[in-house]
Amino acid sequence: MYKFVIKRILITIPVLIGVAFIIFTILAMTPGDPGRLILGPLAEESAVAQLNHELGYDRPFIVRFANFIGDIVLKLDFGTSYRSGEQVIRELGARLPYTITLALLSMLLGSIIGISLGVFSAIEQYSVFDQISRFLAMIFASIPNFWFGMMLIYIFALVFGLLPSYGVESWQSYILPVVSLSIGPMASLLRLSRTTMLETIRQDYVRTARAKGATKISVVVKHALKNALLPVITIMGMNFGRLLGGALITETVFSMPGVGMYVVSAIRNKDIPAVMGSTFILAALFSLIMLGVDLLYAYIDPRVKAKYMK
Amino acid sequence: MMRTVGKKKQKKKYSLLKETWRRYKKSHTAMIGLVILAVFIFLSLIAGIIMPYENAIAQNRDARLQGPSSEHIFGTDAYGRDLFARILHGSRISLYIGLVTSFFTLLIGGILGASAGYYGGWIDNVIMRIVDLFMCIPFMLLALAIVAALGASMRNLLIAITIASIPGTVRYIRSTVLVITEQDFIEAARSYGANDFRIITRYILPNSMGPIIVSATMNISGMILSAAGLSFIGMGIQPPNPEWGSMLATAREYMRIAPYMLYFPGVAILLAALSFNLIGDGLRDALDPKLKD
Repeated sequence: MYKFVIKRILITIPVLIGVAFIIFTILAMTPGDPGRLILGPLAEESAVAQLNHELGYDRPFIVRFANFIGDIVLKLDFGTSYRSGEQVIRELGARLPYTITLALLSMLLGSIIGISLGVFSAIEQYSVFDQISRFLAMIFASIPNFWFGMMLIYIFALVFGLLPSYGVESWQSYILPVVSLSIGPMASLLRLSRTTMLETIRQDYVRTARAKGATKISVVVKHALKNALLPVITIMGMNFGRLLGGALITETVFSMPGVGMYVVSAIRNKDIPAVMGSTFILAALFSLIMLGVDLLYAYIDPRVKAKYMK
Repeated sequence: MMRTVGKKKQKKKYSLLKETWRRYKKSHTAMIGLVILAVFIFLSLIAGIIMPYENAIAQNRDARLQGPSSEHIFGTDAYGRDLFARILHGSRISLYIGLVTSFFTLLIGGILGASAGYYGGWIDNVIMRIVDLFMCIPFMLLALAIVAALGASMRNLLIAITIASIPGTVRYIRSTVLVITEQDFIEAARSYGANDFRIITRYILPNSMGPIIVSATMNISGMILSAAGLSFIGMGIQPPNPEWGSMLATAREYMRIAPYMLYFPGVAILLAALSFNLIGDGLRDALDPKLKD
């Protein structure tokens, strides 16, 4: 079992390097060079060239990439923002908590509501409840969440003045963003848990338990739920990636000072180090979540355990 | 309905298309999806005729920020442009984006995924390792980075969304093809000397079409939503082009005084994405052999 865990953890390292390479390559295609971007369009050619040389821009691609990775691994240095001159790592550090809070809360809300509705729908298949929740799931899967967020702002902030429409001053500021971000995972988890629950219910062992006289509820909770939710965990992990992507836009809509808004404005300003750093951090965060999900899944699923126990 | 090896005696005329359509028709939601899409397609086709493109981008100082009226069905925006015309022409843009990205994603992702699933071995390994790397980067982030690197335009938006969608498609097609390839009848075909090309075109492709079409249809809604999202933050279709997402970005600035600007583009995006989701769902139920009567 430990072999599996160690192997899985070690694989994360080349994965992160590979991800960094992809991002680095994409951003290397951005027109413009750092010297010009930092000093502005009116600066002297010689000054730009000198700054480029100092920053190592004229060195070959591989060398630049190696330096980039080296800086991150050895010094945790993501470079300096072109726009603000601050250390990217410091700016990210200040913003990461907001994004993580937003993502985690949305995941929590989406999962709890989505999975419970899905499970109940499966148990009461074809009922009115089932049809309504399937309909809702369809709608929520099709709503652009930035539009939903803006409608929430309009109703709750502008018309009724109940909740803040921007910023992160109080815990109430998180309500609207979290609700608007959670509908994506909610819809997908509702449909998924409904499907897996339906499949599980049809299994023979459930029928046996019912035949033995167990009530519907106890069958669900004791026998079916655990098996039905196993694939759901993996999908929850993958949904987290979509959530991080959605957070980019939600943070922009609600003006939250998180990594999402940072990366969007960094891209607009062609602030390459900031974009590199943010993208890398978000991808690394997602990889870690997937790592956790894989380990959790391996721990819970008795079939995986059996494979590795001798 | 597996097409197995060997010839079959023709008993009754059986058309998979007709049968699928018959089963598809049974679902109300699936039909609603089809109707909505038909309406969108119809509107896109006649958009140029009933509302010339100039109406969508012509600015009119005197008619700024007017609510819905008989003259401007959906009202006007901050530049006096008729919102109804903009929504109409926006539907052409969104449908175009959805179809083009879906086509290229299927083409490239299909070739890669099918190769990985069918040939296995080192081809599979290399392709899947690269796919795993790409899938560590959240979709929006990847598309955003690509648009940022190439510059915000329709062409680059299409490229970005296609590239960001390919990894997921490769994975899905690979698993579909893998399941079919491992079936006995493929081994049987190989054992009597059928070459790869024949096997792929006669057996693998027809049997994998179903799930692939379903997932491709549902992906279109995701692509439309992503395109709207990217345009919303300014990294997609640029104004004055009437893309629904960028219309919402402008609507945001005038939320207090002209809230009606918020409704129509959002509902349009919702309906477009919903139609593809419903159709994909209906197709899946219609093609699922387990649900046969």
